[in-house]
Amino acid sequence: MTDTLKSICEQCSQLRAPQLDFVPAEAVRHGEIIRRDLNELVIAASTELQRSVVLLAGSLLEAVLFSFLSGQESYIAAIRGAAFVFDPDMSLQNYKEIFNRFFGRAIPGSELPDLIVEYRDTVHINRELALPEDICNRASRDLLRILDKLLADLAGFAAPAIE
Amino acid sequence: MGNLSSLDLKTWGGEARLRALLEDLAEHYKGVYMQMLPQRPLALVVWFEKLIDRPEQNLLALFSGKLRDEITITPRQSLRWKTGVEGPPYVEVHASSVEHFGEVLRNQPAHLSRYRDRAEVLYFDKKLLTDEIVQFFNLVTAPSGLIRAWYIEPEVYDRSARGELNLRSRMQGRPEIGIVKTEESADFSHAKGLPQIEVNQRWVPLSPGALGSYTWYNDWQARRPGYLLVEGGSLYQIVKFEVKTAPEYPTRFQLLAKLPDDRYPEIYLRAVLPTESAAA
Repeated sequence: MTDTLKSICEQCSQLRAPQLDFVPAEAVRHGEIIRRDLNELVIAASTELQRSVVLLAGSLLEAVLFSFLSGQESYIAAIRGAAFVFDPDMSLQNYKEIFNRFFGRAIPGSELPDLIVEYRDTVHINRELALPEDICNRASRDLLRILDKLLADLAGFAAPAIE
Repeated sequence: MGNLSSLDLKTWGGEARLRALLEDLAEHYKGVYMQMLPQRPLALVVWFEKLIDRPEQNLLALFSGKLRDEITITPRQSLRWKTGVEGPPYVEVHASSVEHFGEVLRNQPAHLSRYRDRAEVLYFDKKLLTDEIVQFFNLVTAPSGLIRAWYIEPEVYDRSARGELNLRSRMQGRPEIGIVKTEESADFSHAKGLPQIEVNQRWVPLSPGALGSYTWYNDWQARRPGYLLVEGGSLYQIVKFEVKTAPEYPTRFQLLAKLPDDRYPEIYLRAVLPTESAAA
């Protein structure tokens, strides 16, 4: 038997006790939302609710990237060589691209696979229908681990000084 | 320090700023076309005839869906449009559809040669592009020997061996892992290779630290090795993983990225013969 969601969750320390120092200090509500959803995610995983885990983990990936990137405008601008304005109306796809591009090297091994968007998009029935029947089984396991790793990577990240 | 002193920071800074301004315009096109005309999403943006000292830059933008059968050249516009400034640098945008561009490429390729001159691709969505256009702009999205694969958990394999499901149904959706073979036995029964993942539409090597995010690795670690179903239908069982320090791998296997510490995980595979899976 593949690992249960409960056992995966028990191995994922950041899901149970997240360090959210990467959330900008003024973005109090962002942190509250992430903590609330993480709590619900752990409950869903503990009761092996694959579909709920996929939906919550997908939403959390977006919330985490949204909160992190919104506090990194100066860093990204310095790397780009021009101003960068965070667009809060973009999608997980876009946040993932920005994250991979500007932080994939600064945080080695942190690049997020394109697969996460496909998993998250199963929120739409037409997308889920186009995928194998047990997609939630696979997606729930991968998403828990990917989210935990992202949280761990961000918890240890401090933007390097750029002159 | 020789390298540092020879670095032309002014040029680098100028190019980075120009690229950022052009990318902002591409982002605008992406937003405009995705939201207002969802049937015409942006497929490709190329900065061509790149000369950063020139006040005018050139951009080719290809859209999916139906547009006029021509390459429309828009009047030059300031790249500082966002701030309302009407001054240099300027950009001239050559816009067309993937369909029309592809047709010209097939029939009169010489007419398009300028788009490849000192060109840099700023954005692409490979789902929306044709193979000819991908080749024309030399858009390399995978190492040449990449094999795409889908993971099959041991229990799913057992079910297929009992005839309860067809493994090919697992091939729906995006491949979950890519393999670049580094060695293969003479009888093709065993192979090893470098696991790759798709990041921003490019297949890049997976670092040892990221292995733990994937079910195929965790199942193997928990002594429940699963299988990889590769394009074409062959099946391999995962035997083991090892991490090797191999600075020569990116060049030798034409990988699209180099890992910072030159340590590459290798996956060992055993071919599963059709007779074996039928007898399981």
